[in-house]
Amino acid sequence: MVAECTEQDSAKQLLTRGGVSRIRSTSVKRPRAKGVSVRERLSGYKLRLKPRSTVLGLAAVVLIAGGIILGSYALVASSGHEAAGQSDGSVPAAQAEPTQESAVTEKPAVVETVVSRIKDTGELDAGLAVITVPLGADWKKPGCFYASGLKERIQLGPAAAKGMTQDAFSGQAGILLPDERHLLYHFWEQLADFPTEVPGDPIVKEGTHLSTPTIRLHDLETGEDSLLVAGARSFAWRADGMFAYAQGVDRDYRYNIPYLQRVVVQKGLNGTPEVWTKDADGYTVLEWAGEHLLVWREIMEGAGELLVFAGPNQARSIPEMGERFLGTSTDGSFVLATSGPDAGYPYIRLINLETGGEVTRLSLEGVSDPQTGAQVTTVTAAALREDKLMAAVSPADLAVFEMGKTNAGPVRLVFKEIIKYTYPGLCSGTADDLLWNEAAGRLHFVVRESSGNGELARMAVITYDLDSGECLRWVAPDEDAVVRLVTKASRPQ
Amino acid sequence: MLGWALNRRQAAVILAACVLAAQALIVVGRPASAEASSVYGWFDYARNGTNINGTLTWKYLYNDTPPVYSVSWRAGSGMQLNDKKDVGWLPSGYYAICGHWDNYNGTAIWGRVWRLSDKYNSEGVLRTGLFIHTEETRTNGQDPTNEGQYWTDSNPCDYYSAGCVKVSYSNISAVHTRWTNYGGTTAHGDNSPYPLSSRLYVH
Repeated sequence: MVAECTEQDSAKQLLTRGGVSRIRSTSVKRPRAKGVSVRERLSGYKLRLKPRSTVLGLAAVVLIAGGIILGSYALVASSGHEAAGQSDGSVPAAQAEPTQESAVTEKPAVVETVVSRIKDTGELDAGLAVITVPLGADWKKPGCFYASGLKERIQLGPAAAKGMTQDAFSGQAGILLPDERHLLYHFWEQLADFPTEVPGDPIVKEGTHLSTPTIRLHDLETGEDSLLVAGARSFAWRADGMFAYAQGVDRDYRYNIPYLQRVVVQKGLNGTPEVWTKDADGYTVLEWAGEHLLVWREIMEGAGELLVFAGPNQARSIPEMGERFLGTSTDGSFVLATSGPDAGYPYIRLINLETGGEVTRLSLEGVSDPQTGAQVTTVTAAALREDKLMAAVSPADLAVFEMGKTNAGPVRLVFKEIIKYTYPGLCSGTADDLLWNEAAGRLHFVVRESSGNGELARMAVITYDLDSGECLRWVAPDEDAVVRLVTKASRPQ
Repeated sequence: MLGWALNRRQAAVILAACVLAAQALIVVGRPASAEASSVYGWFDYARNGTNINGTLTWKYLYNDTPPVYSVSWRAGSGMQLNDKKDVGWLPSGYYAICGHWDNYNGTAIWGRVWRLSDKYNSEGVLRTGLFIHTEETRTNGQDPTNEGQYWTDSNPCDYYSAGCVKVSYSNISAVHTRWTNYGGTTAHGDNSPYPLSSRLYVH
């Protein structure tokens, strides 16, 4: 059953018309203090003075009491809020404020799917390629490249160099160039151990050079691995050969110092670099969308804005501040964004890239995990093709929307299905890195897996056929690794 | 035996002894005085397996000697139960406090903030631009017309964050008092004595 939603509707209005949210509140008292009182301190000092010494005795008592009261003032005054614990500081945590839960009381009128039959596969799906990174920021061994049809994995990175085969600022994993032979990828070369800040460990000064981000090129036929740009990160390659990346003002990332860059564009691997941004900032090059270059500008406190470049110093931002970029439509005409933590229930917004205007917006209020009933709180990625939008949501995993259209273009999102994947070790709600396999009509994404203690144990690639429901899982053989999907050149194809 | 017959000289001796004893007791019994003893404190953030119901604790001790005193507040971090950049909670481990401002004038956060050191998460991605903060104006007030400067417990639940540690507006003053008076520092900005190593432990 499909529910339709216009830009005026929210998903919850469709799903729970007349429904009432339930609010439950509990309160817990703060732990009582164990502060030592003045009376207890005085109890061991009884003065025995005869009547003739009463005046002197009283004076002494007043002096002592006054001194003690003054000396203990801070301890006593704060005793109502404190607890003295053991040397390990094991104090019961105070839960001073009420918690709040809400639940949708009616069943959603959309398809709820729980996928528990997932087959393991040793082969990546046709056309799929990934880059792995050893778990736990292990700089000793760079990651590998895997692809469908490849007999053996390929070790990436320069020989004997310590580093990591991904962008530490979360840029894309890699791009397979249109010749299907060359792979663009990141390599962060380690210069010094990253500080632990553990008491007793060496203190590393701010500004210490810790690593050098680089963009490298690997020839899949000859095995040649070469440096393209040092002191640069995040890149996009358009099918006609336009190569964009962010060039650091400093070559190295330095401890606790923002890594500022300028956006640079060049034709092909050997073209003349042209600086597209006058100012240096926290830029991440995302992708090309036709003639436009999409760039994320990260702001110090974690927020950011999407910039659309038409050429050197020709940038405009896509409002609204506080939103996060999710992806673009297949033809590059539309941008998808989602709300940050300040918006209450999350929403997905479809924006016309040319005009910057909002086409439609859909609130996910009332959209919930089909197993637990918990409200969806975040959208982390999305993939949009002509008529279908897939969004990675948490909790649950995927939300499926259809794109309603008129002759004038898309006008609304139609919420169709919520999907949850489940198998032992899978961390729910961690789907990410969505990628359509256009030819096969399948969706690829990565999920996180835990060994049971809640810590990340590895990532897996899930391939899901929306028509047949078949679900395949691939993990890197012989290594517990972070897995990133390799993309292809941006439009025009 | 002295009995009742205390002369002025004897009374003065007793009085002096009492004063000395009292002073000794005062030294023992005033752990909260920074003049007589050194106090050292640090933050502890327990994620408690949730994004919106963690516990931020200020722990401190005197003269590097137990017991460890503590005071706690509810706090939140991230929007997902992992340490993914932008949406996950703060990665576990130790952090330095790199700076502290009372009137921070940022783009997404304002007012009383503590900036944390950078840290790699479990996926090898650097988490940067991390803070302990609340939602308030630059001048420590509340602005209902700007959600980012106005604390609400629900819709939105402002304990959610892009990965920082957030305490409620009603508690940020208490956090600031502990930092200033109980073993943090009165210094503001990001110059010396900052960064202060190992001043936040996340687990």
